[in-house]
Amino acid sequence: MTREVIDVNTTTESEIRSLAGVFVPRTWVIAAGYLALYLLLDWASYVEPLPHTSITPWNPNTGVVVALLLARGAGWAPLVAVSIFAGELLTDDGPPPWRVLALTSTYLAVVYTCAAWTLRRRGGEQPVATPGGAAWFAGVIAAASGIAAGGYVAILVSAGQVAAEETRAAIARYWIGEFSGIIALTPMLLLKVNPAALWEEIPRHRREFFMQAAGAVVGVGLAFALAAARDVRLFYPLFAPVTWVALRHGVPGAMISVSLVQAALVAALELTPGSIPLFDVQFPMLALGVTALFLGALATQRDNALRQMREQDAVLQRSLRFAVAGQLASALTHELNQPMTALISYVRASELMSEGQENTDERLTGTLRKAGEEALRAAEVLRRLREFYRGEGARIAPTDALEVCARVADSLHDRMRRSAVEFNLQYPATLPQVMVDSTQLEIVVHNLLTNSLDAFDTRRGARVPPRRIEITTAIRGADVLIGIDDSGPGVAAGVSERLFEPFVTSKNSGMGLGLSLSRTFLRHQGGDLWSEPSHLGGARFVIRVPTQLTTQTDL
Amino acid sequence: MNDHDGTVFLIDDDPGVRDSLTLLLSLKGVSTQPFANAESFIASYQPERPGCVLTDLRMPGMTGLELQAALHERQIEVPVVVLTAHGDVATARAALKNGAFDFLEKPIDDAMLLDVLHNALRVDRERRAAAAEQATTDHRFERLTHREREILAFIAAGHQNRDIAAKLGISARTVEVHKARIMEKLDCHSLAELISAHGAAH
Repeated sequence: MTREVIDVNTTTESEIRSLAGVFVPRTWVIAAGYLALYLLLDWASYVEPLPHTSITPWNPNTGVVVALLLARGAGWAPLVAVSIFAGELLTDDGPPPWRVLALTSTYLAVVYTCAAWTLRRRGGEQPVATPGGAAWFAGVIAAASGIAAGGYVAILVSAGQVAAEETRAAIARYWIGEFSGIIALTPMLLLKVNPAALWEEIPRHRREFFMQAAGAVVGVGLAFALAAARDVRLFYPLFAPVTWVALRHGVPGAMISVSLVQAALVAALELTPGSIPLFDVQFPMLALGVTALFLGALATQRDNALRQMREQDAVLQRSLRFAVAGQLASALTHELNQPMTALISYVRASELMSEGQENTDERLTGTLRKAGEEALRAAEVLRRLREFYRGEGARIAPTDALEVCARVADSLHDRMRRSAVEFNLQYPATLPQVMVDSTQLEIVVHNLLTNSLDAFDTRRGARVPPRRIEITTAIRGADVLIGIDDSGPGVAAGVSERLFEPFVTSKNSGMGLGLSLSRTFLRHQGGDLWSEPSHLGGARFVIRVPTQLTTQTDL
Repeated sequence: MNDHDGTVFLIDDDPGVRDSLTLLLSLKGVSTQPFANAESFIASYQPERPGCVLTDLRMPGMTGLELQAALHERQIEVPVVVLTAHGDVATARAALKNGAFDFLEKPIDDAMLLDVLHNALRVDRERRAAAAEQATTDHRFERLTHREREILAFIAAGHQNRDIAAKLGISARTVEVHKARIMEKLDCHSLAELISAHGAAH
């Protein structure tokens, strides 16, 4: 499902023009669209009202109000007041006097404008992308709809529209109606769901989509069929499909399904009036909305995190592949340079010899000269190939070495837990920023940590020492030293000298390029990498990275 | 150029590089002696033979850098031109720091190689000539007596004959005689020459 956070401002003038056919100021289009949607929803949800009021069990129209104020700002409050006024006048069976209506409409508009202002102050354009955002949103809306309900009912009571003894019930009913209407509809309106992408999504998950829809229908059916037959109200089955959708599709899916379920419940309520007491429907609806909102936000956050991780992983992989190619290019040029040198020298010698001869084909000298030039050209290609791979990749910038270490450790957290490794990161009070390519430093740290973890896995049995990995950071002159210690088997004596050469490895799998690459990375950035015995009994690798730009450049 | 001007001592473990460069240099009139490794070059090195070293860096056994250190340790002041494949750039930088005459990347343009080698050989020749001259001057100074050296030091310091006579408690005439003897022994024909010879010796 493709989804984006709506930003009404991005709707271009030309889109509006094509919508309307002729040029119409976009504010008019938005105002007209808002009014139409508001009145439609107000009319559709006008079921089981308290007499002389618009106190109905479900107010999705208020969801539109909050969405407009959140997206466009407090300047739209007058239109909101007008729309509420018009809604009550048009849809109510017996509307209260217009003075009372004007008062309530203004009051509601002010309350929701304040609520939207509060939400906007804290990044309200994307109110529910995280559980924290969802909690803030739900809290502000709960409070705002409570204040709206209290004031609204108070005005009606003092105007004699609602009997005093009904005050508490009216407030509760209005509050829940407003709350669940906003919770379900506002996030959905603020998230621009691409209908075409949504339509394509359905066949891909056809079976799942069908089962989710069937679950919702069965849930609504159960709630009403059983309620009619016996005095049982089973709303709990409705949670299953909504939870399922919320976890699968995040906030947009959650809010769409909640809105549909709410619509179905209201429709069923309309068809079988009096079958279920109103409160019994209202509370599950509200609970369903809030649950779906939180689950959806959680799923959206998880999806975002996963996507971010995958992107980061792709960057690492690309960088690593590039480095491997560079290593190969380097080895290749070095090996080819020897025969190329000999070839060029032989050709030049032949040229010289042919010059001194008499009776030789005069074309020979020219041909040999050309052969020499071609050989030099081939050498130049090799040189460029190597330089391409050498120069690329390193983007040196101030980097927080601790943050890099912590990030890598986090990414290996699950593996460490599975292998029962005790991990420890030590750092001084202040650590200056280091001047390195953070991606390359991450590759190096990742490489060293996985080496340590791999080393643990080679040693199995009852009498293994406790598995520990420790990262220490320290300042040494103008450099920062990052030490990675482990309590593993350490480096075999025979390998330690050749550890940093390419294609030397003690692992069963692996190319033996990791340490060689890591050292190459660091040295190109004015740093270094070496190994020492560890105080933990295993291997210790030390990364040295400069805190300032070094003058180290490649010749 | 001929053998008299000096020999290029070519050290490279790759037989193809060795053979082709020896051929090319000899065709260009540069006398070349190839060695398969640094050890054999050091073993057969004769200080009196003028020349320069053209060495690879990465070699099994003694590397180019180690060769430089070994030459330094033996106080052999032959110019060393380093020939490197691309991978050895960092090492080449170290070689320059260690006093290498120049470094070239493989594969090389023969004109540039010849240019560098000619310069290296010239530097070696000049160094040898300067050393020889120094040796001659030193030899001449050894023939001066203790009193003559004393007087030379005063002359170089700018003192007049009369002052020197007074300081040493001898007659001005005797100083004149000593001075003539000094000029004869050091093969000098003027006071200026004498003073510059004294400066060169010290």
